[in-house]
Amino acid sequence: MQRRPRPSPTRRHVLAGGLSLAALPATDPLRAFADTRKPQRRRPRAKGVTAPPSLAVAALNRMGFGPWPGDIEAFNALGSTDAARLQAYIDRQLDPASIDDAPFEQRLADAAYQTLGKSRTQLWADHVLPSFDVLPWFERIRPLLETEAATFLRGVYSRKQLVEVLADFWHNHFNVFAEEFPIYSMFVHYDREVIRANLLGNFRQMLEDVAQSVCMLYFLDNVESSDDGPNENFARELLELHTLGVENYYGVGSPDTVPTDSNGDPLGYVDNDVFEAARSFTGWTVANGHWSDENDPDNGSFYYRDFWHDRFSKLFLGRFIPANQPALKDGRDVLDMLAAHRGTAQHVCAKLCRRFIADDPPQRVIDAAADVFADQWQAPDQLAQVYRVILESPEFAATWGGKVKRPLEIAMSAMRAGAINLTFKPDDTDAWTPTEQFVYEYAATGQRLFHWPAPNGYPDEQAAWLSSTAMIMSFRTVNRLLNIEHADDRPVIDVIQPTLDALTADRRTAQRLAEFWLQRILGYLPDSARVDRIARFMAQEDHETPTAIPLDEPIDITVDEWPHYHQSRLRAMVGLVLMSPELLDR
Amino acid sequence: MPKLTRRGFLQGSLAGGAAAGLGATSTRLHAACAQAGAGGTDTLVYVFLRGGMDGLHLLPPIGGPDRTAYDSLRPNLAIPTSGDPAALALDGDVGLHPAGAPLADLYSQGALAIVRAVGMPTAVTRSHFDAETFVELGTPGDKSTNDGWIARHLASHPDLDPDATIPVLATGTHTPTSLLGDPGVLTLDRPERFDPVVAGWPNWEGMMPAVLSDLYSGDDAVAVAGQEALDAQAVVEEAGFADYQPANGAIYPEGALGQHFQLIAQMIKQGLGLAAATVDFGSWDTHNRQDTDLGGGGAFSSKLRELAGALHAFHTDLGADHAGKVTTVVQSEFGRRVRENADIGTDHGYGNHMLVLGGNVNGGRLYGEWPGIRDGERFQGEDIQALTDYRTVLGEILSKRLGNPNRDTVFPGFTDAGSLGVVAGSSAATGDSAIFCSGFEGA
Repeated sequence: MQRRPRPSPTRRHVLAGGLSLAALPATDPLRAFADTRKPQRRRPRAKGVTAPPSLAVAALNRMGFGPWPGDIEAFNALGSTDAARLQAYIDRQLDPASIDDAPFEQRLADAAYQTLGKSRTQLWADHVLPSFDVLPWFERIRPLLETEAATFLRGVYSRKQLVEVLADFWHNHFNVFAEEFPIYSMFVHYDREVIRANLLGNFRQMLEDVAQSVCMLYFLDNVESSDDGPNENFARELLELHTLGVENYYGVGSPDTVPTDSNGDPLGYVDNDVFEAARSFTGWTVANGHWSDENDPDNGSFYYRDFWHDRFSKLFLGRFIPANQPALKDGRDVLDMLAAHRGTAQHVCAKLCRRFIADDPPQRVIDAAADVFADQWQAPDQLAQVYRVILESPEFAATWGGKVKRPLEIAMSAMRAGAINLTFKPDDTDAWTPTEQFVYEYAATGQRLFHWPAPNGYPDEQAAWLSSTAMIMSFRTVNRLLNIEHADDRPVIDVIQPTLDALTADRRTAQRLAEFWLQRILGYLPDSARVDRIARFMAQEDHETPTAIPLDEPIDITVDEWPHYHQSRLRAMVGLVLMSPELLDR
Repeated sequence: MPKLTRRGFLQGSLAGGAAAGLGATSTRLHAACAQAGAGGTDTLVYVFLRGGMDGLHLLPPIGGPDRTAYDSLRPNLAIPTSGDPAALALDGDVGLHPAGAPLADLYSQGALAIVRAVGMPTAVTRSHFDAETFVELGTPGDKSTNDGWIARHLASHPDLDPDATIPVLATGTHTPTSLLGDPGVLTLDRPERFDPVVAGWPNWEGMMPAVLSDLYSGDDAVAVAGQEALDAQAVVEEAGFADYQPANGAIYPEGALGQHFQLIAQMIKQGLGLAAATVDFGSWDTHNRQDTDLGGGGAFSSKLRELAGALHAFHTDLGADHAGKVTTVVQSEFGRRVRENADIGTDHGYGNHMLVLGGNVNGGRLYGEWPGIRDGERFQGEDIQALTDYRTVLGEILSKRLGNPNRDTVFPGFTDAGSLGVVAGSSAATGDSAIFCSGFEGA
């Protein structure tokens, strides 16, 4: 047993030479480990990164939540070559104002959400200030529930698909757990004015908006951080998660141990930088009627409480922040340094590439994106420029299978491919509404929107959710979707009418039904074994009766009666297509 | 005896068709039970308290010089030694948070041991995510390791049945890093909803799962994950986890934690070959208003009450028949700062305590050198020191209770083969005692 804590030979220290090798224990765990032969049990073959089935399929599944029926054809009409089509699609998605989104706008109007347009102070007045005796619980959390419903509505119906993918990315990057007071009441503001307002804009601006939001100020406790005892929570996650990343964390030692770049600036941070940042943000709080401050207007706006601020000098990332600076200047200096730091560019771009390309993204693209991120850190469209580098990279267009869809992406894909007809809306009546049925099943995957309790957001590597529960509950969510009906008994996903429209009666064979739905949902036909398996299910095969109906015999799907229940069978078949492994690729 | 695998279990039940009722199932489960016994290993239950549980708040000093320092460093947060609620007496000058009362009972029964000032002496980080990753990979300081320590334990165990029906269970919805790389892990949150087909949907005698199984018959990661999930679902359905009556009057607390412990108890009693199970219990990151109501309403108090209640119910439920073959370890990624912050909370610290529970635990004792919390005794002037490597504790359990002599594989580069004597038993190389498994009718 060790008597004293040893120095901390983190990998980073060793690589950086921050500690002399002599200081390492005689048997360096890091080196010994490298020589260790790992035990082997049965392991799945890693899914190879292959060429995509088509560029349309790749683009629609990576820059969006998968194709809506007709999207593949629309993509292919954008140009005469693959390259031209992709370029046109990227250009349009990066200029969302140019996209006609009328069907979505109509849905949004129909949903008649009550809180999505409210200002920050209005949300505070309506949903935070009233006492718990007066305001029903549903009204208190309505802003969160409407944001959740609207997120599904946008993801499913909006043609600005890249915006939706990015909103999900940035919500996770700047994750707040929404089930806390008063975050649920203010979540509309966070979604609209912090995340969405900045996602094609400037990262430095987004950082400041996050740092001044009610949601982040409460989630990471800066709301109560004062010079009397700075709270480190926000400052630590700002450095570790939002900007530099833990890969640039050099531990608890002296700032002198951090290696420097050619300009003499430190390559990363130590705990002391966390403490100095925490001091810099003291006094950044919310106007929440604090007892100590008679000037506090208690209206939920961002509030700088001067007498809580630690006005003395700080040393952050090797730079001197002088004492007695004007209001907010210390914190803004910290944000400037972080936004301009190369480590931030690398960290954020690696995450973006992981989302858009592969769990283990190619370094070349990360570096190219980080170059633009760093060079353009003050540009108003910095982030759009960064996305463009990634989306226009050869690696984006040429790879497939490096990502497995998360439960959110599976659900969104299934709803889009199934052309679902559902205006998502929260409800406080006793009715078990279609939206509630869907959210109830989806939440059991473990990835309900805005419900990850830690500040790092849902993981973006497949190992975390290729779990039995996430898979079974994702399957179940899809199965439920084909089973949900509106109050007037119409299914939310109609499989009958599109089939009747597309195939004449003589062509409604099990074989053709399988081919039609596979093509419609995936955007391409998988191998013949897959088609055959789906077709045999449609042909009433079960474990006692192989292929009750010949695969080439027309099936009457206008009726749903004993013994065959053809319509129910077709719905189940479509469900199986929506649960097939190909749907999980991106 | 032929091995009973998850696949074999399923094929057996499919061959029987609809006639394969519970009677046939329970025969097979008995077979699995006997098979699991042959390995002679405990089930490991690994509980992770995410967010950095404040060990000093769990075990406040109630006397001696530590108490003086504690009162001065935690003027608003200190748990009083008298009045109501007050710290409970646990062991000498070491007290227990009042909401942890069930732990005192386990301690006095001799089932619960506490190792103090434990952590990662070789890697200091105040990042939750670094610290959790280091601990769970079992390689402090190195995040490039591509499998978790429990995954390596299972893979390197010399006579663990590799084809047990449910060898490893992760309760909840996500696979924790400690199991990263394990090919057979079952994650299970709520068994009653664990079914790809919703109730009321025509299922044509189970055809939909059968077709899904065909669709996921490939050998890539997605197909294997899908197949594992479908197999697991069938086993869970057959085993009937939805109906369960805890034994010995055990009452699990309401909520996910209690449900998860109950599920583990059920699997152990059914003899499905469970070698390891994980439990995640989060939200211990108490920077702000850590515990405004020590009676159970405070943030920390309510978490602790749930944890202590679940551990107590679990041990009680396992009873004399099973508790001796189950070792439960509770740890967190780090402790918290000794000095309270301005928000009546605590920031990220360093050393912490580990709890070890089980029928073969040398409980009712405190282990590990205790550095004290007075000035000059704290790590970097602020934190509880980490004098005992957490791998020393896990390594001893690995060797004496889990029957795995391959410490070097599980904790590569960790050379300390020492043992604190926290658990009973001889080291794995010399063999383990036989176990008794009562199967369905047990307890």
